[in-house]
Amino acid sequence: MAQQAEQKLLEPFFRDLKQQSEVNTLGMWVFLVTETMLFGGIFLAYAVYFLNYPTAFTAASHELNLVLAGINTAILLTSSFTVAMAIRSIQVGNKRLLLVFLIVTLILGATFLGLKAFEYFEEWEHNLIPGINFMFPEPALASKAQLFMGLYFAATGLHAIHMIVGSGVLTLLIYRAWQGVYHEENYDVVENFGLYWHFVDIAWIFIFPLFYLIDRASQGG
Amino acid sequence: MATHDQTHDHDEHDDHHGVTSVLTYVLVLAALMVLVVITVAVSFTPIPAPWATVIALVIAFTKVAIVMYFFMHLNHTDSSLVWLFAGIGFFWIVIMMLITLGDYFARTSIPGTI
Repeated sequence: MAQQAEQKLLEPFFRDLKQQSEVNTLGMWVFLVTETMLFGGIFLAYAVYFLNYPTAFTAASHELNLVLAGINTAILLTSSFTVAMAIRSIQVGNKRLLLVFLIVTLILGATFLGLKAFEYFEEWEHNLIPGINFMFPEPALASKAQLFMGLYFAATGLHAIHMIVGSGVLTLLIYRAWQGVYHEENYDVVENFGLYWHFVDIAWIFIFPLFYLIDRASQGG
Repeated sequence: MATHDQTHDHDEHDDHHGVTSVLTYVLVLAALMVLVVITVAVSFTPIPAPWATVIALVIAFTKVAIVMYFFMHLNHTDSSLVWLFAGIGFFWIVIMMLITLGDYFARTSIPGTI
């Protein structure tokens, strides 16, 4: 019975299921390296301008909502935990727990996006949107602070798009899991989705200190 | 293998990678949370300029290594190719940052230019 199931899953050009799984996983890792280059470019641009305009960048960073971002960081780390638990569940054959953990992951991801949207709205209210309504308390630093905000929206916007795409795919996975498609021999898709989700978490692990935690010791009040 | 041997089949195809324990995952999450708290605390501690950033980046890279090793199942993968690409991604960023920022640190500024 298990052997028949294996025959159905195995593509003819693979030696066995193990090799097929490894190749699927490798494919996702290769993609993640390209994603690293994508985010890496933005981080490098940010690093260069941070080195050149430290005062303006520090001042601009203090305008960001650290509490919201801190909560979002905790949410994303927990969602990486729940997706890892989802994969573990199907590895031991627990289809119900797989579904539960995937749903919790989606809820956490959606919460992250909701808080992010609110944070963007707040930034709009505080006149921090470059080119649209940007005004800055210290006029001498304004143009450089606007550059900071541009980089901030580029990095977090790109990250949010990745979260949205990930959440969309996750919804599809939840539907498939609910249909009972996944089992101990067939969970490559869930595993590789997990890799993508962890990568997006890693991107945020860099975004959070780089943009929100510049020398908060010097922040007045 | 015409005979139906449930247990044997399950062992043979069991886990293309090993299964990490729940406790390990919980400890990893706890460690990540602690590192976030430390990062925030360091940010609020007065530390001379380059070091605060250096510390924050060291902590960030540590978190990344933990996520990659445990959550992304590098600890259970048999494939050297996966390790190769994981290592490539990790070190690509490190090298790009080190060399580019090294150049900036080593420059003496010419007035009127960056």
